[in-house]
Parts: sequence; C-alpha cells; structure tokens
Amino acid sequence: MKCEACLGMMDQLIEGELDGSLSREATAHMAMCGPCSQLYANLRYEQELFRKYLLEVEPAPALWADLRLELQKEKVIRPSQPQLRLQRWLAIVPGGLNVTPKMATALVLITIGLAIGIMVWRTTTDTSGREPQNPKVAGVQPSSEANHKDTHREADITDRQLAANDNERKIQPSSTGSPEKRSGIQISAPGGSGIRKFGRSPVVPTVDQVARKAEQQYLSAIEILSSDLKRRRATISPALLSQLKTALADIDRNIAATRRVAREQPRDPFAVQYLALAYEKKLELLREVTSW
Amino acid sequence: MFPRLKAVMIAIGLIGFVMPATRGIAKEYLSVIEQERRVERGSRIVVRNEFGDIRIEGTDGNTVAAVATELNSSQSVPVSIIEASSGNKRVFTVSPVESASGVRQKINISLEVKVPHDVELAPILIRRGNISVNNLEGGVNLRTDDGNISVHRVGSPRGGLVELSTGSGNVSGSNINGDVRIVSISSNISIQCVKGDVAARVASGQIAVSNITGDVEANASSGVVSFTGAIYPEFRYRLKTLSGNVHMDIPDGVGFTAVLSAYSGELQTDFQFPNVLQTPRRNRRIIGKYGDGAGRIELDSFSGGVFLRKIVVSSDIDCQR
Repeated sequence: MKCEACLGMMDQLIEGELDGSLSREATAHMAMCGPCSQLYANLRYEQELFRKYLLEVEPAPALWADLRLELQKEKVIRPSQPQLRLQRWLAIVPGGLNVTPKMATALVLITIGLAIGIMVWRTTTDTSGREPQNPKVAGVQPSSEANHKDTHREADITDRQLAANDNERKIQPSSTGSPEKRSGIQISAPGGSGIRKFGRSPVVPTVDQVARKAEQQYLSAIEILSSDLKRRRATISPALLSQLKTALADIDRNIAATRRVAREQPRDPFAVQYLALAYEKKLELLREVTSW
Repeated sequence: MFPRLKAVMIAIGLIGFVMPATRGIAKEYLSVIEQERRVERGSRIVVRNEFGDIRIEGTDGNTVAAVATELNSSQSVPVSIIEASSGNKRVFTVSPVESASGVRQKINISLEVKVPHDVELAPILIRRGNISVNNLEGGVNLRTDDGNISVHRVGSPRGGLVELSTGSGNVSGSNINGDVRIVSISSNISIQCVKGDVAARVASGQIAVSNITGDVEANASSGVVSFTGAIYPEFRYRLKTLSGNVHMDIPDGVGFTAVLSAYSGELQTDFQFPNVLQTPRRNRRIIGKYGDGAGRIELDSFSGGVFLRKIVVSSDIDCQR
C-alpha cells in the first residue's frame, strides 16, 4: 500500500469502519512508514481529546429546552424541508468537522458577539427614525448634528448612545396611538415579561434574553477551559495557580457586579456589554493560562 | 570455595579504576566558574536558568560571558556555554551547571550574561525568578510564572517585538524601540518611552504607561489604568478597566475625539468640548471632539472613575532611544 492510499482511508481506520484486509494493509504500511504512522497517532490523539471533551461537558438543560422550542417553531413555520435539512446538518457536523476546544471557544465568542451586535444594531435602527420626535436629549447641544457629519465613527457611537437613552426612556406601557405603535413597534410594560414585539419580525429577543443566552454560552466556554486547566494543573507552578485563583476571584466579583446591574437594568445594552466584557476577561485569562 | 569472590574482586577493581578518572573529569568541568566565548554578529543566544534570576546585559564587545552565583551561599556556580549550529546560524546555550541535585529545590542561582548587543536572544521561559534585559537590539520574548520582568533600552530603529508575560510580579520597561505586548495575571505594569505600539493586559493589577509614540491599548480587569504624556494625531489610545479608575494626563496641543465612559463612577475632564453628548445619569458618557479631532481616545471603566486631565509637558522624563 502507498502513502496516498493509506492517507485516504485514515479517517475510516480511526473510526473502525475499515474492513479486515484493508485495515491490516493500512496497519502494515504504517508500521513501515514514519510520516503516516505519525499522522495516525496525531489523529488518534485528537479524536481521544475530542471524545473527552464531549464526555466531560454536559450541555445545560436550558440548551435542550431551547433547541426543542426552536425545532417546534421551525415545524410550525416550515413543516418538512428545513427540519430535514437541520437533521442532516446535525448528523453531519460532529463527524465532519474536527472541533477543537479552541475552535469551540471561538464559535461561542463569535455567536455572542453576533448576538450583541444584532441587539445593538436593532436598538439603533428601531429608534433612530424617532429621534426628531425627542430632540431634547439630556446634555446634547443643537450643534451636535454638524458634528455627526464630520466623523462617521463618532456619529455611529453617538447614534448608539442616543438609541440606548431613547430606548430607556421610551419603554412605556403600550397604548393606542403611541409613537411606538405608529412605527410598528410594541413594547411591553417594564414590570412585565420584558418581551418586545417589533413589527418587522415575529419574535425579537429582549436585551435581558440576549444577556441570559450569552451568559449561558460564556459559561459553557468557561467550563471547557476550566476542565482543560484542571487536567494541566500538575504542570502549572503553585505560585501561578495561587495568582490565578486570586485573579479569578477578582473577575468573578466583576461578573457578579455587572450581572447585578444587567439584571437591574434589563433593557440597558451597555450593562449587558459590561457583563459580556467581564465574562470575556475570564475567558481571556483561562485561555492564556491553558496556553502557557 | 568462595565462587562469588572473583566477581566481587573484579567489581572493586573496576570501581577503583573508574572513580579517580570520573573525579578528574568532573573537576575539570566544575573549574569553569566563568565562561566566555567569542560570538559572531547575529548569533542566537539561548539562556536557561531553572534555579532563579536571569540578567542579560548587551555590550559593545564580541563575546558572550556568563557568571552564576548561588544566592544562599553567595558562592559562584559553574556555567556552561554550549556552541552549536542551526542552519547558517551559531547558537550559544548558556546555563548554570546543576551541582547539588540533592537539594535542588533550595538552590537559588542568579545568572548574569553579557552578550554583544546585536545578537538574537531566544525566548526565555522560567518558572520562578526575575528576568532583566538591558541594552539589546532586536526583540525579546520573556516569561516568568513568578517574578519581575524589566526591559530597558531594547530594540532598534528597525524595531523588534518585545513580548513580556508574567503570572505574578511587576513588569517595567523603558526606552524601547518597537512594539510591546504584555500579558499578566497579577502584576503592576509600568512602561515608558516606547517608539511603537503598546498593548498591555492584566487581570488584577495596575497599568501605567507614559510617553508612547504609537497606539496604546491598556486593559485591566481589576486595577487602575493610566496614561501620561503627549498624544499624536495618528494614534489611538484605549484605556479600559472593569473595576478601577482610568486616568489620562495629556498636554494641550493635539486635537482628539474622545469617548469617555464611566458606568457607575465619576467622569471628569479638564478639556472643554464644543460639541458634546453627555449623559448625566448612571451610565455617564462624554463623546466629543477637541480641536481637529484627529487623535482617538477611549477611556472606559465600569465601576471606577474616568479622568481626562490637562498637564504641562514635563521634561524630566528621559527617553533615551
């Protein structure tokens, strides 16, 4: 057997899907061929590592509930085709992709970033059209319009700020003839469930919902890195471990403080961003130490 | 009679023959207290010391010289310099010779190495001990899990990345030509006089940077972050912390656009912004343009205060490079 043939069936060999004679041939070739044998060892190691992660990280019960809910919604809206596609994807992804812990962390971070980005964008676009109706934003001088034109970046930040303030002030119990209703937006009472209904899409998550979802994802990523760190504990110096413990305690205090504010101000996107930042710090630290 | 005696006699004879020879070799090796080797320009120097501090000093000479001292007994310790080739480069590995393996954990050896300032220094990674590097061209990559790092007069007009990582211990750097990256778990970081970008991150500790000609990104999770010195229109200055104050002290003269955020702390500035968006509520923010608005300043703290102060340019800070 040549290297090319052996490499072609490497995955099947690792998965134990190769029939007897081919398996023996491949094994015999690897006994003679250093590079193929090395590659096989590396792949086996990765496979083992991946299995360990799958075994050790239990998905949160909320994740399954969310997934079921999403599937049900999909079923109602589009009965057959998408569900089949989703099932196919779910079947393909774990086998087809080689998901490393770093990749998993990156995916979680991207998802969280996207969620927050969409949330901030939605808040901005939904309220920007209503700015002229409320010109008296606290502390804004009339000439700020001209300033907006000068630098696009500044304008973007200012818009976000206005949107956030606007959003905070305008969340009122919905009544007929209100500006929110005219623009096709309905917002629930502050003491209610916090679900806002926008005209253009059936369900838009609230800031609080996005925060909770993001928090779940951060916790999953932190769990993966923490278990990785646990495994490497023996290789880390006691002094470093002690410092790490102290630093993690500091970060946990920050997480608690930002979480408290995010809960108190469930519609404040900045509060949620600080919460995400606090989690991000923890992830950064764990990533750093596990890579040392 | 005595069948095993012959074997025992042979063994004794062998030991008697081998021991003196071994002692002779060891003696010759241990007598090398100070090592010095001639090195070519651009050679690579690998420095190792698992027993304590490392101090590297760049010189105008063309030799690498090393001295090691056991700090508990104040006695000199032999040093080895091994020469090898890697590609077309000469590699010199410098390390103290471990002589008392029985009490290994108690040994505290300080290694001082003098090298020509134009050599390439290989990354230094130690578990415990301080690392100090002075007068060296090119970049350095230093890491200690438990100890201080200091880097002074490093880099050249050609640049060179300075990467410093520490678990705990202070980090100080000055007169650096090139970009600087610092990552620390729990440290106080002080960096001044850098011609290049500075990116510093600490989980728990303070970051103080001053006189930087380049982008500045200082991030702390818990701790004070500060910047002092002139700013430049083409650079960005981002100082952020979750819990702790953010201070920026700059002279009047260069225009900038500022985004100042203090979520639950106070927000103060000496600069008057003609067009400003300020929210007086819990989430305090000032977004404004000063002068031509060319420079970019972002200061952010969640639970601490944010202060943007005006200072008079001082001449007492000596930026040599």
